[in-house]
Amino acid sequence: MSNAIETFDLCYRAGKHFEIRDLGLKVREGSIYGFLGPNGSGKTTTIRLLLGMLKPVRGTITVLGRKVPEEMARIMAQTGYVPERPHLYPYLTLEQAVRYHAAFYEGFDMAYAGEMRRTFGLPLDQKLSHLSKGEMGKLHMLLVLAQRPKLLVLDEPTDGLDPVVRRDVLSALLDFCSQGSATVFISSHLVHELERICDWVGVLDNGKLVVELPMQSFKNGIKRIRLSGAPSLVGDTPFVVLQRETTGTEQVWVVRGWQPPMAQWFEGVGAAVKEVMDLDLEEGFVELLRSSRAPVS
Amino acid sequence: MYRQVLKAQWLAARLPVVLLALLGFALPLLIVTYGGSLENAPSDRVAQWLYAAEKIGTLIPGLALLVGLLLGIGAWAPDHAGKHVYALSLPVPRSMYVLLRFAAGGTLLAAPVVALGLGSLLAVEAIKLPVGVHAYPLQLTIRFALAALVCYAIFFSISIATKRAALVVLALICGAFLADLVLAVLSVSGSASVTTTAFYLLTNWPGPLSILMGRWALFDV
Amino acid sequence: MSRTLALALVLGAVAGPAAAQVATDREAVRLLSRAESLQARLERRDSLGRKQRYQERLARRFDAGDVTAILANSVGDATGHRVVAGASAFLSELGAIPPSFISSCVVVAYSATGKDSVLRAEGLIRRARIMADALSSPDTLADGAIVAVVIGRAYRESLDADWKAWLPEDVALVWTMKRDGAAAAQELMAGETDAGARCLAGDVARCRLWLGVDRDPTPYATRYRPAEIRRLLMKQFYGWGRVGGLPAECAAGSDRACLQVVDRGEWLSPVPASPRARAALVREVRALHGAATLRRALTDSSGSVGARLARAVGISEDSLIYEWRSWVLTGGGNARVAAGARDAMPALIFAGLLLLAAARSGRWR
Repeated sequence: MSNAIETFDLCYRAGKHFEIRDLGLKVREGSIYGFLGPNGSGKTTTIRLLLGMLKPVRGTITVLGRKVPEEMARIMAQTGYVPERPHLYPYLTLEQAVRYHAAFYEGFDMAYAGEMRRTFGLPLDQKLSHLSKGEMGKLHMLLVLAQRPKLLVLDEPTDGLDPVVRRDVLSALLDFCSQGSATVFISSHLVHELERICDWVGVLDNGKLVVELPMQSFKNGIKRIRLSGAPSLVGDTPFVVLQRETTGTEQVWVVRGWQPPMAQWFEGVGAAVKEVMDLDLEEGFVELLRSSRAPVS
Repeated sequence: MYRQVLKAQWLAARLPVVLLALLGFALPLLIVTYGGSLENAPSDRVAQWLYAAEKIGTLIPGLALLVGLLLGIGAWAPDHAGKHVYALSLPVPRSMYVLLRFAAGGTLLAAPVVALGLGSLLAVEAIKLPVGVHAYPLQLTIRFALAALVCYAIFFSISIATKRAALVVLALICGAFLADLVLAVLSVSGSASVTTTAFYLLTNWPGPLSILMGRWALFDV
Repeated sequence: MSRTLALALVLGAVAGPAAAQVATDREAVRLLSRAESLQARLERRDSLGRKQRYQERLARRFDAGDVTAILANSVGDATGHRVVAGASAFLSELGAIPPSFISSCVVVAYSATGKDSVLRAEGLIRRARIMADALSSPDTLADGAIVAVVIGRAYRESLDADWKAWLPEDVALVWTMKRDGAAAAQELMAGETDAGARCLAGDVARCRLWLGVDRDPTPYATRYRPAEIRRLLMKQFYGWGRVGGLPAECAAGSDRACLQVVDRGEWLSPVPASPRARAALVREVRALHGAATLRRALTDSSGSVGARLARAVGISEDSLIYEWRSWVLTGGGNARVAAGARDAMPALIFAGLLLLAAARSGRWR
């Protein structure tokens, strides 16, 4: 299977203190890829690099099989982009904005756009400057979905939206995905939201890709293990130790890549596993970030 | 694509365009209004009127500059507000997008140009010219159109330029003034002033601003 | 002890003032010698200054083309050469004054010292015309116009009475369409006189009167109306009417007195058109018919000025005057507001270049 988005050795510097380095993203075609990371980790910057809005220091970017930035126009013809902050012209009415946007996309589905507008309850003759945040969010989604793109790049599309609007937007997205084989690249710091819709996850922290794996592996593979008698020094383990804490006679380990047969390893080092607890995506995400910032020795 | 860009640009700039068109229409009529009726007027009144016509005519290149400034800067104002993210996300090559914006803004230039032309024609019809005095409505309108186009292109490019490009231009201008200062301090006589030379090159044929110079009187001998 | 003290006091009383006196004398001597050396320095400086001023005033020869000028040294090398080159340019641009006349002239600055020696040494003393003029300031000398005008004036003096009376003093040497042509047109339109106003309206005969190109034994009676004479004199000379005698009578309303007072030729030019407007006729012939035609006219001494010009051009006087009128009123045949290909090309090219620069803007990177 080919990758809708692929980067190799991607590096970018912004000012003295922020850097994206050695970024190697692989977004499989047809997947819904959740791009996670705390605020300021470089998600929006990465997206702008992918869409040719920023020039990397080094590295290659391929989107939909085409090179960025050489074939940008062709890439964007098949890509729908919802940015972090709305950028449509505020003096246009909704209808004018739809027509403006449609003029640039050959396959723009006006009928679908009209249907979505009715579904979202958006007024045609309202100026964009008078739309609420939620309505603007819906409009952006309407525009990109009506383009019928092969790739959707969504940068925090539900940020600042109320739960009802968030649900509407995500539903529309899922409907769209179910109709075709579009690839979705969605960035967010709202982990629980992505948990429901994404089948791949990549975690970015401070400009570095910490992990990239299927969502199930991510969710199921991070566990909190309560044990006793664990050695203080740990050599090679079949899993990745993210965190270790000692409370009295017991220790609590947070690990990634856990599978049940790995309990035998603890027996081998003389430790006794008392309990293996599931972590939800958010807890796992937090532990992952913690360990990437202060790795366990 | 072009039609939509033109429509969007018109919606953003319609107020200034209308105001500029009104100004363009009014200027030639101002000359006529000032002159009053020249029929049977004493001949020295004709000379005074021509002098006044020439002075009012100097407002026309000023109007061209204003048209260029407002439409040139205005062409990019909506994209600037959104940091060009929307423009960059559209499936057109960058140069094509620039051309679309330029063409749309250039089309809007037609409003003040046509208004000036109509005003000039109306002014010519409204007055009976004495012998020896001629009207130049077509030449004035064409010259105004060219001047407005040059000014529009200048401000359009300035508006889209990077900070670095703007700094380079600013540095060149400051450098010219500094060079003149140094020459003056060192009392290097006989050397041409850098700023004067630059001004001369810009404003004399075939410099870009030469179209703004010269006579702009609608009525002249 | 007391004797010693008294002696000391006495000695002190005597020595003190003496010592003070000596100190004062020494100071006086010191001051005197300083004054003397200061005076000597001033005299030396004066002498140097005089020498320098003398050097600056020394006469020096400058040549360019047929033009020769003797100027003071203070003018400087570069300026001196620029002046003669400029004068030569003015003269060759008009082309009306024969090169042989120009090369028979030497223009000499009054202020130049030792000019006679230079004239003799350079073999210029044999030249037919040596004309002195106040040619000292580099600012006024700069473009050579003054030198050219001195030669032009001399040429005019060499012509016959009709030309001398009619030609402007500078023989139209210093003239531009933009400045002088426009002024001539404005003058025509100002309509100070009936002749001018009717010339503007297209009456060629009135144009001839206004330009004064015809021989006329009673120019004031023909070319002016008495009321115009009165108005022009009152306008030109403040309090003229209060002078008494004929001026007062004229001011009071006597047409006869007005004609009598101007007939002496002191108060008003016999030609209504100013020298600039007349220069426009010279320039029109030069522009439309060439320098050779103009030279031919200037060397013609038969008939009126109008007849000479028309003869040289080869058309009738009326046609020539009508041609002049159109030429002046249309600014030398150019439409004032220009919008031709010559103006459009730079505008379109630069607009295109700026668009190209905008299209390649690195703003988005």
